[in-house]
Amino acid sequence: MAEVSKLVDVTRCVGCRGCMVACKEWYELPGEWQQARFEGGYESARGTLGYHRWVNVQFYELPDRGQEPPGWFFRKHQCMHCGEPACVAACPVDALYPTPEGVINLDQDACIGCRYCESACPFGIPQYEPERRKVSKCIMCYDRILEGLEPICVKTCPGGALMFGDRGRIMAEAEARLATVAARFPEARIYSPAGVGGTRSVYLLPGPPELFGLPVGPQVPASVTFWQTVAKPLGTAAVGAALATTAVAAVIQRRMNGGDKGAGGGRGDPSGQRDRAAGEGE
Amino acid sequence: MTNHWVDLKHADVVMVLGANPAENHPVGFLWALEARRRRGATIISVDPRFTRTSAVADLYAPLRPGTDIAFIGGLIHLALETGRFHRDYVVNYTDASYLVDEGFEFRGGLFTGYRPQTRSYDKATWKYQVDEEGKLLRDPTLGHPRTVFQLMRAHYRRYDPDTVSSVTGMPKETFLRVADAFLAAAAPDKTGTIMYAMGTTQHTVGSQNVRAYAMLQLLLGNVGRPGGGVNALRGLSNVQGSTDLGMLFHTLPGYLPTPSEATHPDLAAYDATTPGGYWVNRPRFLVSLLKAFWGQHATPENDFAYDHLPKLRAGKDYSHIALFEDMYDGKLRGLFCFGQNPACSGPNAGKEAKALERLDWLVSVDVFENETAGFWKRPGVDPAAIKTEVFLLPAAHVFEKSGSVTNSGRLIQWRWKAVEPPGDARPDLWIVHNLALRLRAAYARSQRAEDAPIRHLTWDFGPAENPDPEKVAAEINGYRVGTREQLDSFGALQADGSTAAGCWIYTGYHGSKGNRAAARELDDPGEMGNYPGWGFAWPLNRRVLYNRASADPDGRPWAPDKAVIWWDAGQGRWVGHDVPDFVPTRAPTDPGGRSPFIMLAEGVGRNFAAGMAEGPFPEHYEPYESPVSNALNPVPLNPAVKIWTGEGNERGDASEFPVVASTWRLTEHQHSGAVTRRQTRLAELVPEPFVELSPSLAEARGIRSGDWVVVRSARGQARARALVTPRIQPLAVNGRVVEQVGLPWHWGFLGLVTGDIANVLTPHIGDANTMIPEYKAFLCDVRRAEGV
Repeated sequence: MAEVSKLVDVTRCVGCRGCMVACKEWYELPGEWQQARFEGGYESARGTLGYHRWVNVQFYELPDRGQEPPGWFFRKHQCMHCGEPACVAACPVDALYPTPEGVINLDQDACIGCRYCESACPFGIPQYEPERRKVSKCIMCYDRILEGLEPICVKTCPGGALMFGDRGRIMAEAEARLATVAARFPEARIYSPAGVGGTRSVYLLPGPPELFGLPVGPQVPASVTFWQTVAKPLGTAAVGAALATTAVAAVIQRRMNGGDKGAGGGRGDPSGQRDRAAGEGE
Repeated sequence: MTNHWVDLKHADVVMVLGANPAENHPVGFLWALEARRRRGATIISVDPRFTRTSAVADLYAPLRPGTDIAFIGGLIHLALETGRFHRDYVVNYTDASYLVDEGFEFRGGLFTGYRPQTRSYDKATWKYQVDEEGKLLRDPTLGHPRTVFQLMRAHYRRYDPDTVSSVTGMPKETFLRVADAFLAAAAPDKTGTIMYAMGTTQHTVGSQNVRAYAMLQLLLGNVGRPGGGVNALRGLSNVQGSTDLGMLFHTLPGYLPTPSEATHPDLAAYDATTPGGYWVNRPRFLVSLLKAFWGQHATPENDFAYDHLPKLRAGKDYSHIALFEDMYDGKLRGLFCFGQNPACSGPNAGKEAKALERLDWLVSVDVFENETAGFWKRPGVDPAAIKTEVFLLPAAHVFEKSGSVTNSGRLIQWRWKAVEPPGDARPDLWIVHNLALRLRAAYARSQRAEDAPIRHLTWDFGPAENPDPEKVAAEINGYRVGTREQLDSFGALQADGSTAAGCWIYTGYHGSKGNRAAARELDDPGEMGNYPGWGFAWPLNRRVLYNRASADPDGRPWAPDKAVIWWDAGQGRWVGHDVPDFVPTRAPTDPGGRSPFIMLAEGVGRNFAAGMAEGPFPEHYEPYESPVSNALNPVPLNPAVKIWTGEGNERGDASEFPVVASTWRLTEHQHSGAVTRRQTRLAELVPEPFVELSPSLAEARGIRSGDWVVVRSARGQARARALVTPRIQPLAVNGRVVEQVGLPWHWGFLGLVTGDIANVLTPHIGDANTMIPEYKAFLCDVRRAEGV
């Protein structure tokens, strides 16, 4: 399959949050209603991703050039699927890896919970869960993609704000949409920043990225680059030695001893996450 | 909808008012966005608060709840005074050129003939002028002072932009921008659509709000045309189907009026009230309905069992409010609630919950135990003191049963059962079927005349355990008695008892070609988005009603890119991409060939509608509870509404309750939340009730976002969290500042997430024509909750 991408058109999103629910339905992630409280606006969970929430729609009330009331925009936040993924570079066990289609997949069974990806990611995507000592994130429905299906969020989106397909086609669509919204949003732009090698989650933004909680010029951190080019090739044994004094060493050790009984399943599933999530239920 | 969802893509301008489709109809709203993408359409959102629809609109205009007529009247005024109306359409396809009775006038806020004792009108002068032969008098130049056109001009002259702004709170500049955008649809090659929902209808002037939209659309030449129309967005997947099939007290299936004791004592009297236009066929539809109900027991000799039909008693109405008032007074013994939750969704819900206590029994048919089924254990009551016996029948949910739903665009679509219902849950059809079978058995030996309607009932829907929805569909569609031949058009229905049909407007959907609601063909002739092979739209699979009006008087489309039907002189018939809403062989030069509104005797659209309770022209009256006096006339409240007095019907005054309130919905929840508050993934998104208020009101009351507050009205109070946002703005009304708030009404005391019931705040008062409750404008006050 050729390289794929997903367009997130913020000029067209109506903020219905159907994508959030659909994602949880597909991956059988639990609804976290017990902890939920009203937070002063339409957003829930402080507008953040979570271990069980790989997609979140963030609400932005923005001053509309002197007009009252302000403009109101909705940005679906999820993994950006970078062309030069810092998380992949940082991952010592290759639990995170790019697929030939450009998706950054996550093998949760392989994850050792070292949280390097979390600190490496310029977009704050990987979400760590201390009890499981795992991270989770959007994998662009890689399981569905392999079956010729579009990601579940795209399938659910009622307003045409999400689109999925061949990267060339998606970038052309983004350009075409940019042209049609230019009159309404003079500062509209396409967001697929080069500093991280371009992203497979491509935004059409109505204005500058900083207004929508996105970094202006994200880069792969230098430390990660060093790690990837120098330290990581030395191999797993060297990793263990290098991390001997850190907390994650214990995790690695326990995992190597087969003590992590929570792991298991998912091998036959290309997502590596499906069975795990299913086991958690509600 | 006069049009349908996909047809929205043809609009050049979309005005959304009294609706929030981005949140409540997000799939259908796609087509409004398509109109902008494909045609550069302007989307206008008129709403008290800035919604998720406003967020993607090109223009947002705030409006005080309950002032739609002032706003639309202002647009009508500008259209008429600046010539921005579609003159050829108005002259040929509306009653604008008709002369009105010399005795008719509007003075002091009232039309001629008002009778204050009964709060009703003697409509003797509400009529057109006719000559000696009974022919309507017209002036096609529209210049005669007694034309509907000139009377309309005079009527709306008071609705100038300054006055409109002062009444509605919409800034004048904003009003003028909206006017420029929407009145552009007066150009013959342009169309504009109006999308509305309960923000329009749930007012004491709800029907006249819709009338005002219809008049504006007639003046702009937007009715019967692709991308135009007056489009009601239904609040549930099958609300349209429910009303089509006679779920409202004042209609039988197919919008045949429910007979009343006084005016329709027998079939002859009923038929004597048959109106003109296509409705001259009403006797055929009624007799066919009676044959469907009572089969062989409906004979010419017994007026086709007309006496079996229940009749309305004089002076009585059987609307929701009236039923609950009677229940409160102990006049009702039992209640069936199918998928309804009035303890949350009813107006003055606190009173309605008390009314349930006076019942002997209550049957609730629902997917979950909702607040109505559990009213006896609501907060603050002693279950031991409540004697009502409650039966909870578990119902199958949508994917657990087969049948059809009819969407806003009159499109009937079949759904197939995907999974078996859990446990003892049964489809509603099963429950009604078994109830009917058992009632019939129970009364089988009765000799009493009043039991005959049950004993004689035709009920052939299959075995008790397995009723067949296809059999119900076949009866609704209609058939020839004897041969059981399924009919393809209501044109075949007869008044002699030779045909039966459960709902004449549906005839053809389950005819000789089988179940057309189940058809899923994707052909799209002319790329009009009509998809005639997908489901079946009543009537006769017409997708755009009144589509004769999409062509000019000579039968040529007004706009080449919106050609839906046209006259083909060679073939001698109307052809095109939709089923003509017209006699297919009636030429433009034939008598009536230029009269598109075939349901009406005069064949043209009515700007002057004598059928309305409170006047032929919509006039602004303030809501039942309003902070201001009526700036447009001296009459404060719709003079034709019934005012409910007595216990529990307190009316709030602005001195104590200065804030205007409305209720609304969120995309994450549905109605009273009986289902959605039990879905963990939805409950997570919106867990607690809240009230939206402006930063200025919050500052004045010392309220911060997230605080618990108490919203009080004259009838009750509800706790909610404060959502302080500039999306809500105070409005300048009659020279003073009016604050407004709004509450989503999705909460109740049962479910995973719970909260106070917002409808304890709303009043028992309804529209003068339909009795729909005024949920959308009332008075309240908001204070910080103490001790929370």
